[in-house]
Amino acid sequence: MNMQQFWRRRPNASALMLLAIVVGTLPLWVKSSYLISTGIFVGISAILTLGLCLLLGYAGQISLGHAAFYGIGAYTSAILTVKSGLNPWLAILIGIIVTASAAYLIGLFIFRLSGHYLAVATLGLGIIVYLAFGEFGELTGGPTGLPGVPRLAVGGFVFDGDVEYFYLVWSVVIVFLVLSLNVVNSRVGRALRAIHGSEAAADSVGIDSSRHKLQVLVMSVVFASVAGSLYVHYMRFVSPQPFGFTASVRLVVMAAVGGLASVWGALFGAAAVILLTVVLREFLPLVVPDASGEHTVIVYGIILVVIMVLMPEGLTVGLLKSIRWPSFKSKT
Amino acid sequence: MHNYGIGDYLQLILSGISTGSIYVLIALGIVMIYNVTGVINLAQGEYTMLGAMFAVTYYSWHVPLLLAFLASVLTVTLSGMLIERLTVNPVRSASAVTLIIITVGVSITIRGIALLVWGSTPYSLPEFTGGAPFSILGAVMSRQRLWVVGTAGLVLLLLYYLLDRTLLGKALRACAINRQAASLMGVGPAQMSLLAFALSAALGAVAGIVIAPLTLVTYDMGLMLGLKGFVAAVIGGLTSAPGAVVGGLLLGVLESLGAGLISSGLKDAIAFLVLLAVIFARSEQVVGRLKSRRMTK
Amino acid sequence: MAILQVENLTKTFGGIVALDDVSFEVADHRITALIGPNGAGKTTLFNVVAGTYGPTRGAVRLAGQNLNGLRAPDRVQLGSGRTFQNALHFDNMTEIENVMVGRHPRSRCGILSSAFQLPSKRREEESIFLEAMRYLNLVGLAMDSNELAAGLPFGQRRLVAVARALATEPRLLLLDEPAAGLNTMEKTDLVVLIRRIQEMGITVLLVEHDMALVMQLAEWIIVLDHGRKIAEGTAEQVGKDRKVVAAYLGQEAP
Repeated sequence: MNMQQFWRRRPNASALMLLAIVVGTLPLWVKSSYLISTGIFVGISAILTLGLCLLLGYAGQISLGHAAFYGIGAYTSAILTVKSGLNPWLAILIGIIVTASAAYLIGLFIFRLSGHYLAVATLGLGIIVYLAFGEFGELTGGPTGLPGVPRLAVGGFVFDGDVEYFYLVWSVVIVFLVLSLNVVNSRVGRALRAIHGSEAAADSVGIDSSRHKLQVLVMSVVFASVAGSLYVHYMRFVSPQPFGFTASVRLVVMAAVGGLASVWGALFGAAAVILLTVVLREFLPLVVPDASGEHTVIVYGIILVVIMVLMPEGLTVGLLKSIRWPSFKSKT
Repeated sequence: MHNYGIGDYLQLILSGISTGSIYVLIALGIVMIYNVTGVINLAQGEYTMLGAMFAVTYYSWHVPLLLAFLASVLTVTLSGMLIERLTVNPVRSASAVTLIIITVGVSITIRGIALLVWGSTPYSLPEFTGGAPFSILGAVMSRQRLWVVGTAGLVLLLLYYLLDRTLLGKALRACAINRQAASLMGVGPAQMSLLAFALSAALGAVAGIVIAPLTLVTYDMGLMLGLKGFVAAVIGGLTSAPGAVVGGLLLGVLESLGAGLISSGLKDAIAFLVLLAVIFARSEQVVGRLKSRRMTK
Repeated sequence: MAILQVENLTKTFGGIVALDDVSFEVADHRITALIGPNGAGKTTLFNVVAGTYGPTRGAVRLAGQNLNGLRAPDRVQLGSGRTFQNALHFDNMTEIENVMVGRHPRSRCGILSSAFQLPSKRREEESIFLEAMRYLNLVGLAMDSNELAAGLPFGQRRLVAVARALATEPRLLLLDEPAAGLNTMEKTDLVVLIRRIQEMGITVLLVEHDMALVMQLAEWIIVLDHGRKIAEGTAEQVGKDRKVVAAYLGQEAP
């Protein structure tokens, strides 16, 4: 079996191999620490977007407060390691449990209702959680934040350089990518797509819609929580600012750019939006002299509206569909 | 810890009712759009911000206040119609999630444009009529708060007349009950959707203008107001106009009592806690009677 | 022995009475048809039996077990399968995946064992695939199994829906207008298929407007009109019934 055949028969495995090679060799020829650091943020965003895509694209449910779950993971890690001196890995685990429990409780009630209460509830939750990060100063450090988060270490090895951290983050990305691909191509993944297609028809083949939505919501926020922990151990500092409503919207933009129901698209969406943000930061001040972070939000808004109106399946999927792929159509 | 007298409670309830009137207007817009088009419009709060901003702008051009009020409502109504044509109309058959994402996109785009146009400095509008506040049983109520409640009441009456007594209103309600049947009867869902967005934008604008003298007008005031309006609509069942009225007033009073008696930092959390409680109660109800689910998506 | 018992079933929507005190039994292994003019309440009855909504009054029993209060997915688990009037609903999946979804209630792999690709998942996936292929073969559709369902011709989509329902291993299969929109040849195939389903030990209850097909297939016929049962019996008995004739003539008259 030559390379081409392998690619065609196992596209996911081949793409994973390609990704591993690219990520593995990237620090060898990219020496700019700014770019490596950007790569770390792309990885963290990719984890978040991956989780959101599972929820949004496969189960057809939307979270408008995903940054809150990201924030809960981040703050749990920061508070437990700074204030209680807990082992960082244990703190990450506790963060996962806290975030998953919160999502489970919310989902338990919301998924019994028809309609899209989840959008409103997560939007509200996102705002409240964001306010809480600033409000409970004794625990969270208030609006100014909480410094002194330790680095991650395994045995004697400390992830203290950007390159080491880049490898750590992208290993997690690849693990989560594999987990997502496994779920998507399984009984559970088919059930989710069925629910998205029609709940009445899903009912008719014995699929318990609310249970599956709940499971995928929990899986999605676990990803967000881990991303949050990775973020604080890299920044070694946490403040409310990255976990507000704007951040939640940016995640939805990443998912929309990537293609809502596409695991690989999530990766692409995260990278595209981060790079766009970097570019905007450079060029927006040329157009709007007193531009702030808030101004970039207009661009996200316009991107969202344009993509969703013209290509409701997301940019990547929309573009791929508009090109004819002969090999995808052939019967094997 | 000070003792609360009857006047203090009355004070809190009165100011709750006036804030609640604002929520009522926003919630009514949300309910109307949801009923007629099935869209959960998360951009509703932005109409409120635009209403306040345009009124402030026109007033600063030395337009008389009443005229500035009307001109602002007209401007926002037209913006609402433009937004409907550009964003919701082309994707009428899209999934609910797609439509929600679109309204989120619209919402942040409007907020961003407002930031470009008006900057981040807060503005204010003078009270509609000057003079000393009224005093009832030891509670004080500013004249502007009376204006808020009065205007909301007037708008409700007008809306009731429009929906109940005019042909246009009947067409709109027919569309809310059954879109397909209505289109068979010659009522175009596309026109009704446009009308619903126009009316909702007007309701939002009125809310923004009457509250403007009581609060600071900023480009980002719409998000919270829109969310509160949403909570009010959900309390009322999301599809019921009388429900939205009750929900809005209830939320206003609860917030006011909570902020006054417990902690003012809690004010924004109350709306969300109420939302969770309502969702909890609803879902228990659903389980209780094995809710009938609609067959088509 | 009756596989399905419908007892004094009443269903109202607001003020409208869709089903009015309907009682009947479906005997095991017998192909039974539910007929009646438009708006007689046939689809409503299906939806109440399948658990899409609960009855206002009355009860539905499957093999003696009261189904009241059980949600639709739980009823599938107990062996009640169905198809819909407008066929297929999972256009975003291939033909084979559509049938694989039907194996859902007969498989168990959860989100964790799927994510971590446990050996039990691999084994189960393989058997789901093979079973689904078997059902596609049964309805005569194994060739195009990797086509997206959205691209299939109408008649094939209908068959995929039947294969999907069969994959849930029902004891009772509710078919809602299976012949609607099919051409003569496809209808002949459908008759053969339904008889084959009967031979597999599955009881078929169908709603159908095509009287020729009903007369050919059904061993027992139940007639609904305006939400009430007006007659039941063999094709011959029902054909002679005055009330049935009146109901159908009444509908045809302007």
